[in-house]
Amino acid sequence: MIKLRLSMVLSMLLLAAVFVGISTARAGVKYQCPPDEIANGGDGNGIVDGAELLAHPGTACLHSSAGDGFVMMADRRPPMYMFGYHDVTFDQEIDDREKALDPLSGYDPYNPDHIVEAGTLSAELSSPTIVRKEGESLYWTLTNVGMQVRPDLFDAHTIHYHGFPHASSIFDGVPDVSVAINQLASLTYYFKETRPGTYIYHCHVEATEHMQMGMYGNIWVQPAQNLDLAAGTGAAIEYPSGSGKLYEKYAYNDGDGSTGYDVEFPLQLSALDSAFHDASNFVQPLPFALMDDDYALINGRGYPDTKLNNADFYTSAGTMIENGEHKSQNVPSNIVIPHGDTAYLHVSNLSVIRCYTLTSLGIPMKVVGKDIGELKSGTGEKLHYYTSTLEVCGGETFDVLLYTADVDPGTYFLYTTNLNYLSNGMDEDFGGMMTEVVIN
Amino acid sequence: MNKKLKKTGGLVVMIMALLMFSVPAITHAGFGVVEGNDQSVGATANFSLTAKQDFISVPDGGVIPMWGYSDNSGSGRMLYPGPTLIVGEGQIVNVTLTNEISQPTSIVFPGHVVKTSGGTHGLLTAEAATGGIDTVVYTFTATNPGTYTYYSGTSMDLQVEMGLMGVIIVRPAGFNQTDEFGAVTPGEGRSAYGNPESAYDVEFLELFDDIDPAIHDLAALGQVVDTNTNTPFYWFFNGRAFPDTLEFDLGNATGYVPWLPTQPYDALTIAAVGQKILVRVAAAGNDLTPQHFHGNNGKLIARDGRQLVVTVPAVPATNPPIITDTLYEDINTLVATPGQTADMIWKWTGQDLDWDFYGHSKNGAMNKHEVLASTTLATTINATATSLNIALTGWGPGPDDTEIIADDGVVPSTHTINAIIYDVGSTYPNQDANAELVKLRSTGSGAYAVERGTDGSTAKPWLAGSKIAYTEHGRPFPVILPELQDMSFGGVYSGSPFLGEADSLPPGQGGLNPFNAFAHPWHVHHEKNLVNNDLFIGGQLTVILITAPDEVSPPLAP
Repeated sequence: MIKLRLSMVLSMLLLAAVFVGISTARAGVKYQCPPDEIANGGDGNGIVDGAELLAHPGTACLHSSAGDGFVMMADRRPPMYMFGYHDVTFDQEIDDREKALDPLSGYDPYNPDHIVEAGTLSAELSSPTIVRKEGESLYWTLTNVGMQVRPDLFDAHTIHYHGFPHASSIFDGVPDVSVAINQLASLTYYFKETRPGTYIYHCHVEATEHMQMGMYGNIWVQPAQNLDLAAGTGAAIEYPSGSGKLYEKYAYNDGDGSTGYDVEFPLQLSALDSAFHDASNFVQPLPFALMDDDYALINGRGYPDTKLNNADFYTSAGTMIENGEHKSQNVPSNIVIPHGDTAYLHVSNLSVIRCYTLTSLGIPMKVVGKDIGELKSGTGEKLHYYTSTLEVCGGETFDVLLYTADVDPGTYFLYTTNLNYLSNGMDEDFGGMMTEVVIN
Repeated sequence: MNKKLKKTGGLVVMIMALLMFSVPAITHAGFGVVEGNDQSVGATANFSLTAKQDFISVPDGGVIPMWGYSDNSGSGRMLYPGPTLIVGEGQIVNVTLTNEISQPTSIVFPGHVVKTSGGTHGLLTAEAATGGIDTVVYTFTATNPGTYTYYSGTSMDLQVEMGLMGVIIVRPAGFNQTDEFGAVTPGEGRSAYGNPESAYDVEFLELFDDIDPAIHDLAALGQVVDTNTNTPFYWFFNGRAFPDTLEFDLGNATGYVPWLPTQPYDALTIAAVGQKILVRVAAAGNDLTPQHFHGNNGKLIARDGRQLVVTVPAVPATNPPIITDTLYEDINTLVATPGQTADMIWKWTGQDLDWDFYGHSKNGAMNKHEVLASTTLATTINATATSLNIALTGWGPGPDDTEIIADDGVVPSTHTINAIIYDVGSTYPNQDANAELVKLRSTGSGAYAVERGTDGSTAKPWLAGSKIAYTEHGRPFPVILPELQDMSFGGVYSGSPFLGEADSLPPGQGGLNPFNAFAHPWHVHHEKNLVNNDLFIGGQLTVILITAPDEVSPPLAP
């Protein structure tokens, strides 16, 4: 007979109570994707495809979880506690596990237990990049899966689609003037995307805290001018005129190909305050007034992690037991451009404290847009400009093109000229807000 | 004035006349006019400012000693920021400074050529000695309309930090508050720079600043201060920190509230759907402050009192130059730099939201301003037609001349839009029981692919001359909101997702929205500035309330 100590019995009872509590309280978890829902004649696989897409052209669904997790800094200090989003429209691990038990089953995107399990401790930095097309409609469900490391916190979460034109209050994600979603419940937003450009999404609940903790990501809306042979829309445009260089993708509906590109990359600048994150991890008061960032990042990583692709990054950084070995930093900053191609950098700054100036050493940057607006005059004259430095303050987005035809193949550098941010934490020579551009 | 905009072929058409249509305002007196000391009528404007020491309040219960300007009116107390001085283009402005703080002080007026009389010359300008007797008179001609600042020119690292700063607004010639620009008299009415490109309906000021209370305590005690240690712990918007930024005395139509006697200005912004809002932005303080406007992009139209336009000389050259192009920046985040000013025009119409943000049904009541543009069918169509020909230039004013024109008068051609086809005999789409909701997508040259009978309406034949309106009216709310217990509600939420409506709220949550308006925050996007000394929420945050315009077409009788 197994002798049970009182403490073991108590913890088992507590665990049982917690599980029972979670099951009944998950009634609020609900993914809404009307064209896909079985009740509406869809196939219930979580995405709008096949016949559903024909009946509802240009409609898509997305499901993000909001919760906590850990990320690795380039100086390999102990894992940094953070908050973030994760895509729970599908989960491979749960799918494999379910199929092993019953080949006809799998991840059920509408099952609250699957959703919460997929989202728990899965926060990412930067949160997943979302790519959309002009004219598409998006049902975007946000499920608050709670904070595993801080069960004492009952924070709600939201999605603020930063820059969305003519936004309504209910779908703008600012809790003080509308609604936020409590733990173990879901809120579905609806957006009809009508303006191409580079957007940001971030949490606006207790914005100073949640944004410092890392709840932000990219949204890009592609213009209708992009060549889409299947739909018979868009155009291939030669730019410059007479050069023989044909583009099929553009930053904006520019009319002349002057915002055309071949490859694109996010460049989301931000920074973390390790004292703030550690205080959050260890249930200490949060230092708002003394907030001071010491880990400057591009796309959630510091140099030299920024120059690594995802596979190499995880080999170097390892995955952390603390977050159940979820891969939490999936937006690479290694910019690789085939020689002659044009690269489109989606630049944004999510720092809660300061502006950063970005410089491109060796490759001129052409700025074609800011804040989802192409740079042009009232009569449509292009106001694109070349520069080697770009100042980006919190909340701003810029559309930057790098032309490589007149640049020799090799390795170049993109970094902040606020040189004190070229370190990870305390003392380092070359770290922080820097990445490499490889032209091959 | 003669203004011409060059028309280039293609997508953008600047329709000057449309700017003359007025949108009836929610008439809340006092909203939409910058409060200040207005002496803009007459040949000269005379102000008398006294630099004084006093205190301000911050929302965490703190009190901070300040040095600021009093304009010797009302209670005579120091004001933070200094009184907004409103003058007229071409006026001679005399500012007399008296000094009651413990060190010499002066005023500089960036953007103006100043002559002084009295006082003793300091490094930058004439200074008034302490003691309250010495005076300096600063004189300049307000040659150019726009937004400017004034602040101390002595020991500026300390005195501007202490609060000795304010804003000057120069109104253009021909300005009057009551008229839509050009609607009554050509060249006259509400505009920032005296032209239709800077015309507006309502006007608000945003002045950013930050404070390090330790420096203020030391200065008030007469101690030596090392301003190199300046580390702000409070952030301000028109002299107040959130939520004081929203304190407004509705009854007396003023931002002045008795419990903030030295902080006279609020930052609450209110406008109706479709109204053009002029936002005058200025920054003091230490840091770049990126002001983010939720709700929509706006147009940055001027910096440092100069409109961002391309002009050619008029003939004769004594007439104002002719604007041939605008270099406005289409942005949602405006970086306010200490010492600089900027002017922005912002508008919200709800264009292309894809659901009826008033929550109306097809034949329910309809706000008249829901129609963004309208025209008539050129040819008769049957119930199964999948294309329409509507001349793009035929998109023009709606059923009456008080509709909202979307953004710059452009009907989008790159994505699907919602429209309603209805009987020529009905003034508004909701008055036709058989109106058909359709979706249109431009296929070029005035041709549209059309999806018929959407959102519960029935496709039917329509005769040539039937009306078609570009509007979201009648489109259903797209999602099911969670149960009340699963949501947290903001103080300003009305309980309903629809503009102008209220609905159930849990006890103690929401409801602080007298107009059931759509509320959006306008705030600095360095969120560290949204705290009051370690307490979230506070600092540089205000709210814009977007209200429903007044005119409504009643529901169709059953």
